[in-house]
Amino acid sequence: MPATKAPATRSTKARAADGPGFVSVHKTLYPTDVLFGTAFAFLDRCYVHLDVEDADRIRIELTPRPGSGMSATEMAGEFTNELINQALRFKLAKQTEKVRTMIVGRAIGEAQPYESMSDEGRDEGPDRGPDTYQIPDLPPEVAKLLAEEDDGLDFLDDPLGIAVPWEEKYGKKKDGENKADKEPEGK
Amino acid sequence: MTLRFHKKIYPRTAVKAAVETYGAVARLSLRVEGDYAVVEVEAASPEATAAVAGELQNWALGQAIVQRGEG
Repeated sequence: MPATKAPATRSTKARAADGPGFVSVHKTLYPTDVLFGTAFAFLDRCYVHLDVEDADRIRIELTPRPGSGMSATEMAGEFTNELINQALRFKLAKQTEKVRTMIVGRAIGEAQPYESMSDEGRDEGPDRGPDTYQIPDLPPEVAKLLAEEDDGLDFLDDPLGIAVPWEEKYGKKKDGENKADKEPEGK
Repeated sequence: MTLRFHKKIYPRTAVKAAVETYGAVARLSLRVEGDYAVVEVEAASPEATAAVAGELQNWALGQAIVQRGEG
């Protein structure tokens, strides 16, 4: 049995080669924040106008700026692609909002000087030590990842010897003789 | 040239800000018709009118985005 064609949820039209291009989008697919983000990205290359088509759809009119080098159809196509990009960004931002807030909260909490806290505050909450005082609880998997990173990011380690001064590396030989003071042969 | 800005997308303050910004380079008039803020644009030439209208649209959209972020 052949698959039934799903109804089109958006349409991309171009009125004329040198006129505006149109994109019609459904609000459930592309929320207003996504539309605004996409439209903002196109302000430098075309004139963008948004209008309400009906209760569920918004129509975007794109007029290429003089000298943009793109036709209305091309501009509409690029806009449609950017909609998908912005929609993905929006989705990822929503998914990671809670964890990002926790990580930033922990970073700020760790940056607070321990001495600035009152004696009463020190006695509150579980005893986690001075470095983790009043830090919001992270999900176990995130806390484990951060702990592993802390163990491996010792800034004092210098496996490539980048922090070694040039003089120390090349200025003197092991027997104490300085290369710069070495007399040239024959004199 | 007539521009129509729907109140659900463009706050009145965003349209007003755009009209104030471009009022020095073209003759602009602003009125309200139902859910739309209607702006009439008239400049020295048809090309200038189209350019001012386009820039005014973009400015209004930019203001709408900024105000949405502040809200």
